[in-house]
Amino acid sequence: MRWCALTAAVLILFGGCAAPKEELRIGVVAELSGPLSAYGRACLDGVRLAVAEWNENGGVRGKTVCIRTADTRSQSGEAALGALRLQSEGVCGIIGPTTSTGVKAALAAGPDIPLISPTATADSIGEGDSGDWFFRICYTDSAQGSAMGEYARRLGFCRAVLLVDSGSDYSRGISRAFARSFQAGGGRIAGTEYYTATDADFTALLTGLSRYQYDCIYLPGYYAEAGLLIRQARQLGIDAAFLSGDAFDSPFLSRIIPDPAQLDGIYYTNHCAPEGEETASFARRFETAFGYVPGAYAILGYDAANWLLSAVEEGGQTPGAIRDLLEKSREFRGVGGSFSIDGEHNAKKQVRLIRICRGERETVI
Amino acid sequence: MEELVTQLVNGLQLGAVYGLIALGYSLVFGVMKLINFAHGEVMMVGSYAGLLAARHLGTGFPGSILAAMIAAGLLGILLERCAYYPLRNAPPLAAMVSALGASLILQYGCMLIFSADPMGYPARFHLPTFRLGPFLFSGQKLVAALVAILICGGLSLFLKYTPAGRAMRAVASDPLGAALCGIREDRVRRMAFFLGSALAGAAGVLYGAMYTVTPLMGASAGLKAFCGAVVGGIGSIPGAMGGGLLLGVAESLAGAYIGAVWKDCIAFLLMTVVLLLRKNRERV
Repeated sequence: MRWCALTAAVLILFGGCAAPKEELRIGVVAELSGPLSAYGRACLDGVRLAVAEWNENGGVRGKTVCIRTADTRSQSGEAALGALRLQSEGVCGIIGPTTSTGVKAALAAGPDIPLISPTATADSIGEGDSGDWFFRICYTDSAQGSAMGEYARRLGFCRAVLLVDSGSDYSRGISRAFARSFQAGGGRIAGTEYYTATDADFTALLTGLSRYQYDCIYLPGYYAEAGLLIRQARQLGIDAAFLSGDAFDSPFLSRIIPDPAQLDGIYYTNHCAPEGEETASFARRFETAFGYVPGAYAILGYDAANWLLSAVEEGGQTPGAIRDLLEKSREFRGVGGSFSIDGEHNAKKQVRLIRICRGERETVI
Repeated sequence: MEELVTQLVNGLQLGAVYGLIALGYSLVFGVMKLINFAHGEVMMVGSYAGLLAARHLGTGFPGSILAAMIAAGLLGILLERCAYYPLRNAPPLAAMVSALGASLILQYGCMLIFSADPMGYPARFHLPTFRLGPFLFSGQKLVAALVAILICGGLSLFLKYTPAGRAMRAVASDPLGAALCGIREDRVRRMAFFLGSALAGAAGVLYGAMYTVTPLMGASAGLKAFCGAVVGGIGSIPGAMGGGLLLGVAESLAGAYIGAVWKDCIAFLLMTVVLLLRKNRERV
């Protein structure tokens, strides 16, 4: 009798919001704290908005959608543990992590449910068996790097210096792709320099750039150190254009570089364009809910959740069925643009080019 | 040639800030024979204090430095009171573990309060770079170096000529003798902690304005400054400054001529070599 009461108490305590029958669980493994938390939190807020909207419209197949989160604390080990824990909690699929390193760790844990990363762009994710359950709704690094190589030529740049974060797969992969397509378009790589993300002082590196002749610098790094590097470059009087990737999509960039004049001349490739009717309406709803302007990470988090939930709505009862529906998905209309899924579970979508001009971001392509 | 001079000046300026942090290590070690591993975190808290003052009170460099020195100094006293004073008769290792614990509490406490996102000082703290002939000088670092050298000079004068400074030196060289002469050791220790931490606070503002402010910024800067203090002969004030300068120059030159990825590796290798060469003269 006492055991029954105890079990009941435990069930009530840990059973969560509703009985399992009426609830559909969706998992989010993301960088909610630690140095990459700006990305993970934005993604989670996007998922939250999507789920709230589904629930307002009667839920998915009559069930209330409920989010289960796991914080990776920006560490790989935690990402793997988080993915396993969410699977054991019976989620129908996992959104996240947002960075490639985190996704690789989560996949290495071997979850048997669909894992959709909104923004992990490394080409090497999903090679081999782990790729069965992995999807992404963003382009890959090689697509992003080649697109920037092409755009850089279109913008009229001829000689580029590559600044590569030696410890980041993202930075290495994307700069290789950039170099290939930039050279194929007739541009020249004047030089390549490496830096480490834990550094704070890049003056020595930047002063040394004077031995090259260049008109643009390709710097595919995370905003924290890349922002600092650009600020130091501008203070040293380097006014060449800085080209970068989707990691620059963060409002915090302007906190590190508070002077708008120093932000001028930054171009980066991104997943979606800030303008457009659909984006604007989404941005309004998002801002009312969370009080800040959504960037690409929030938009893609929102799209990923909608994509997963509509596969469940269409009849995905088991993880395998959800996966098949996701594989067949064509021209899914998300806020961040329409996309189709190719044979490797990557999204085919247009790479956007954003320019920062007087502190404002505007879409060039 | 021009690049070499620019890099040298660069290194000296960066080294001056390391030196300022190293002074705090040395001061506390001299008086208490304790390596305060939370020193880098005290600097980080000072950096946040200066940033808050700049944002909410609109202070410039002097005001922010003052705010940071006061906040960091008070934190130093609190640390001494809570983390070290109760362990004063325990083996030295206990105090060291306590220091490590304090540094983790400060790091993750600040992460809870301010989040892990890097923050920057307002634009008025970012001074322009200027050219003198063929040489390039960062105004930012020049101010940092000047403030660091001023504070270091002030500290030397304080230790040499004021009664409080003399008391501090007396406790450093012979605690028992000092106590017999009527010097209150507890009070001197607290003062050493206040001063050393205030210096770290000032360094925090200079460092934060040059770079960014994050809860983990103290770890790497603190480690480098600690090495600077050891190389300069820990406990010695000019030694700490010299060690910091040496590290800054080594880092800057290695970054420019060998590659930015290698700069910490080379700088620490150099430190090791210096330590090996002067091991016979080590007084610690």
